[in-house]
Amino acid sequence: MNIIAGFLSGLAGAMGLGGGSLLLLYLAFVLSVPQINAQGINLLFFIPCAITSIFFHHRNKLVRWDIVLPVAMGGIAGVFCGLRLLSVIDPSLLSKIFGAFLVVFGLSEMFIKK
Amino acid sequence: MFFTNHPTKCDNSAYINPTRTLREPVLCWWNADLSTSVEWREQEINGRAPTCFMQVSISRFRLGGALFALKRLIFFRRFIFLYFFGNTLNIGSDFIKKSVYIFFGFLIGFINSLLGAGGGMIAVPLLKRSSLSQNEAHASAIAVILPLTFISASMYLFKGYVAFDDVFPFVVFGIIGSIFGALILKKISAKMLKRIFAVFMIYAGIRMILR
Repeated sequence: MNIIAGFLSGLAGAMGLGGGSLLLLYLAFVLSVPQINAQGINLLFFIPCAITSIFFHHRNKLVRWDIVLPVAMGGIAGVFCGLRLLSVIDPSLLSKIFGAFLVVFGLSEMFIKK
Repeated sequence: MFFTNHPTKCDNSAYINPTRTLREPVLCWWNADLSTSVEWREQEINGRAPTCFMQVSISRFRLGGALFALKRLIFFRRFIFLYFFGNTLNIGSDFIKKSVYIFFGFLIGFINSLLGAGGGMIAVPLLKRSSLSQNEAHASAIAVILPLTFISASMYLFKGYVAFDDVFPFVVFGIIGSIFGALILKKISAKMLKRIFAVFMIYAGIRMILR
């Protein structure tokens, strides 16, 4: 079961479909890990997967580094704000926020046409 | 004679080339008679004569935060300016575009560090709006999230929310899965997969709220 979850979330993560959320849901529902620890596991899990997939994407010339660079720079500022909020916020609220986030993005993926 | 408090920044070129001190004060106690010197102002506030190394460094420590922040801002101002206005042609649209990139990045980083996932889900539609093709957006999203994930994961590790042992059962097969995913991304159309995934996400989200 662990193997399947790891494989599937790696697969989805490499395709940019939010594989992280797959692993997070597996951890939360099947293994009943607390939300904040599950988030940490998911983040740590994503690093090697992302490195391998970027290696392949870069070889296929799919990564646009000129756009990635400024977005990542803005993102670093966002990361620090998020971490600051994380230390303030009530941990039980996090899973609710995550659920609302999933519903909103699921609906938008369903109904917004590309 | 050259008893300095700041050995890395201190040199004799202030004597040789006095105009240099007008642009940036050399941080030594022995040119404290220059009114531009940072040291001089600190010691005035501290109410002590510049006598020895330790005293000066303590006074700097008290006043340090704001001064160093200001100095850092002044130093990085040129890079920020170059980033936004480096391209002299077509300034207006370029400025807006780059600001939008940074704002997108901020959103992605915020969600990714707070919720531990889902940066990619926002990153893909946002990147697709900025003239990237479907596959390019998916690939670039991962490249964006990797540094952000690295920073937030190290902070999670540092705070003790997670240990390396917890991740071990998933990682090996995750890497294999990501190799597969990266290889087939070029070939498939992700539309059907996305529909399935969206239904799954809505279901899981509702369960997560009601838990």
